[in-house]
Amino acid sequence: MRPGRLTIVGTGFVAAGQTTLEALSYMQGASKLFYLVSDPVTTHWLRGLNPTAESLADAYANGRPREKSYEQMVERILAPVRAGEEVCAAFYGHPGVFVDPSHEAVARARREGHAARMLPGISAEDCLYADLGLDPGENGCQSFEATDFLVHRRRFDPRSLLVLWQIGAIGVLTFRPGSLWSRKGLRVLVEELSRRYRPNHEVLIYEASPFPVCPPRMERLPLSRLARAAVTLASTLVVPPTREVRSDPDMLEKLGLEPSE
Amino acid sequence: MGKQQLADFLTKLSTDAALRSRYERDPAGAMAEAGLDTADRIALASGDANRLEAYLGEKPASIIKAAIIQEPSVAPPIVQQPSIQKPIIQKPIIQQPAVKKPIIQQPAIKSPAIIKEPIIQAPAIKPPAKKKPAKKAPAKKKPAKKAPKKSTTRIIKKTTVKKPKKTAKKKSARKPAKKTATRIIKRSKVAKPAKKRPARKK
Repeated sequence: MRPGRLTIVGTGFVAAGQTTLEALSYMQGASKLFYLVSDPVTTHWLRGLNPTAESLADAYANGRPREKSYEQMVERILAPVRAGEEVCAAFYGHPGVFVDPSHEAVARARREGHAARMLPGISAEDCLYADLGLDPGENGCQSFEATDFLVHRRRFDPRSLLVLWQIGAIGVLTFRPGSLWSRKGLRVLVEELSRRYRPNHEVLIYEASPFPVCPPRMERLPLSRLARAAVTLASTLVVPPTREVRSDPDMLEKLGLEPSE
Repeated sequence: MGKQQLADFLTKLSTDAALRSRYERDPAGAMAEAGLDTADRIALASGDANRLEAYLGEKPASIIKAAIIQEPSVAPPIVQQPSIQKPIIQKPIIQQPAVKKPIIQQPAIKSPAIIKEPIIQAPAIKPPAKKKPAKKAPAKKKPAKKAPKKSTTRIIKKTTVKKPKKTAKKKSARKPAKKTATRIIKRSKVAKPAKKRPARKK
């Protein structure tokens, strides 16, 4: 049997508009298209693109460990690949950012001798920079998954931008209904951040909009109020840098740089 | 069928700039042209993503990455981390009043690519502290308190670079002062006067 081919693509956050032409061609041309997207408009659009389109969302179940759901998704994606088909799997945002089954499917397909690749997509982080007018080149950017940030006590520099993802699911490893999975996790996060930032340090809750006519959510609030704020699974916490950074004179000298007036 | 029409319309709005601008100028007119019914129009005109999503009906599937939780055996090093983190916290405390935001002169980089110019802030403390090393050298443990200050780092660097042979004793006395500072010094030493070290040891 001839080896199959797997292409993982991203649909971005806004239906159709943030999908690359390359990704579009793979989704249209696939003999089997799987998808896992976050809004009904993209679902409708994908079904129109390719009649074989099949959602992977039913792999989730209340109380089920997400890792098991992802394992099921991987196997469903690989089944037609093993049968020699041209398979495309589309995930919203960037298919390789904060997505477990996509990476695993590519790795497993390659191990089994199939051609597999991932195409880049527009991630929530890309939308964040555009919507909030932030440039990671200004002060640098530290980006962590919120649970990972807390559990492993990630070291970070408060003088640099800090972005924490999935703040609505802190400490939860299963799938749950509802838009916020853990208020307690939020409180723990605030407690930890308060060691480095003042209570009145302004933070932002950001949510990219899936619809072209709806603005993104960009709520500014003091850190101390975060634990009581309306946070959802789509919320990302943006913590601006604390204060101005000074250049190190020795390093300037080493690099042959001189600050000009 | 109505909701599918709305979904189609939203798809076009994100791929057709002309339609988008027409909608922004005259939402009611654009929605009427698209044949949206009253319920569609109300949902769309709300401009509320959550409301629109609820109206469209299909439950979205959020991908939530499962954090990899390490075994507890990894936990002990975490206890040591706070001590490492301290210098990072303390550094910003040096609040110098001078606000100088000069941009580096980058004449050499003239590639067609977009090169972000890092903003070079004025040095926090000017380097006139040549007398400090003499004061700090005899005190073995004092530098530990002053560790977060940049001046300490600078002084050490200068002595290591300029007086590698003369200050051999002083350096050994300073070693326990600040971990981060010594690391920096070691790196710079390796880069330049690699031969000087063994000379000291012998």
